[in-house]
Amino acid sequence: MKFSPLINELIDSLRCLPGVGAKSAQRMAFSLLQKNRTGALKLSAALHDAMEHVQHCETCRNFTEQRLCEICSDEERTASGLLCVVESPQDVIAIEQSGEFSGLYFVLMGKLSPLDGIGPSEIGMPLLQQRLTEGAVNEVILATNFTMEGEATAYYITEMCKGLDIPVTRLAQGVPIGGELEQVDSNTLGRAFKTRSSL
Amino acid sequence: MAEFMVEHYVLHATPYKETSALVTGFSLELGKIRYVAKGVYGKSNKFKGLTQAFTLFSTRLSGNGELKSGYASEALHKPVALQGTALYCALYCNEVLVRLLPHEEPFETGFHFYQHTLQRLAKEPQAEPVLREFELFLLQELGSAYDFFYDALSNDPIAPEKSYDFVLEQGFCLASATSKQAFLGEHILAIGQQNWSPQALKVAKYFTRLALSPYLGNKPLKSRELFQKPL
Ligand SMILES: [Zn+2]
Repeated sequence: MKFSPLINELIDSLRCLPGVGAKSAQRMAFSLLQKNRTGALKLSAALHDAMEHVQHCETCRNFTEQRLCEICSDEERTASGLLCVVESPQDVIAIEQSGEFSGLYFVLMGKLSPLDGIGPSEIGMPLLQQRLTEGAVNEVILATNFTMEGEATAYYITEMCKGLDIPVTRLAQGVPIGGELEQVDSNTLGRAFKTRSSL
Repeated sequence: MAEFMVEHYVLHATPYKETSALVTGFSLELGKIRYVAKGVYGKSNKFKGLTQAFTLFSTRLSGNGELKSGYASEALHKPVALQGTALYCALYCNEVLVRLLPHEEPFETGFHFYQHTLQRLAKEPQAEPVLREFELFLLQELGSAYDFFYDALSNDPIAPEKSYDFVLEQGFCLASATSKQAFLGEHILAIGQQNWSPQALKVAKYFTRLALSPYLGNKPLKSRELFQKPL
């Protein structure tokens, strides 16, 4: 069946949403047209504004429409001298929710992955280097993922910090709270043993 | 539809659709393979982490086309414990293999050599000889078995004190007087014997880069950037 040009365009555009194929795009388009034009107009305005105005924070690379994001503008957090390096904005949210950390972040927006064409400059290493050289950071906390690429990224940053004489720490790994040992995969369990702490 | 098991290492995995991954692997049975690992990033994380590099997997594949479907994967051992520079080197090996292995051409000796290389990288303090031997092995197996002991033109033995030009697909021949980037015979012989002095390693790196270039294409290898010191 053929749709009118505008409907076609809408269905086509909806497919840029992650996980949305042809069928769901169709369903979304008709649902919006039939039931929720106000919401859809709001969505279209929000999409437009965000895409036009959200940039990367000049110091941490996280998304923001200001020059500096809210966290980087916080003087208390800046004074802590702690810098936590994460792969994605979602990681910032996760750490913020833990309420444990009150320093600054550096958001890589990815991880070293040569086969995906992502090298040091694609994840902002020159900017990080510049930030570390400026001297306001007393400790770098590496919170990249515990994957091969995450480890390679952590190592790269560790070497950079060594060259600048800045202490580096890595998030500890272990058995999740509420987790049962038999459910934990053997690599995690092995690592938890190696990094066990005295009570 | 044909269904079969392969033992393989994941060379590269990228997210595909919502919960799957597009995997390029190096298998014992078929050489380089490509498959969709269904649901590996899904919530029911039964197969979670089963696209990690440097782990030997046994995977059930199906399909007759170039792109297979992968179902149950099982890790046959823990990931090879690669850290720091060794990890960079292993990523470099993966990038090289993705570039130059032909699709679905069994390469059993290559598979074993790769496995051996990973284990050496994890154990040995010096990664460079391991990488050079990996590259030299690939050159030889890909049909570019250069002679490091005889002049490619005159057939005279390579003399340690003389200079030689390297010509792609031919090999080393006595350098002309105007030659700028000649190799010293001593170093060529050392590469042939895999007798690694710091100088021989440096020359070997330059040589393998030249000799592998037809296989790797014009695009520079991204993993080489990892070895460059931060600015
Ligand atoms: Zn910021």
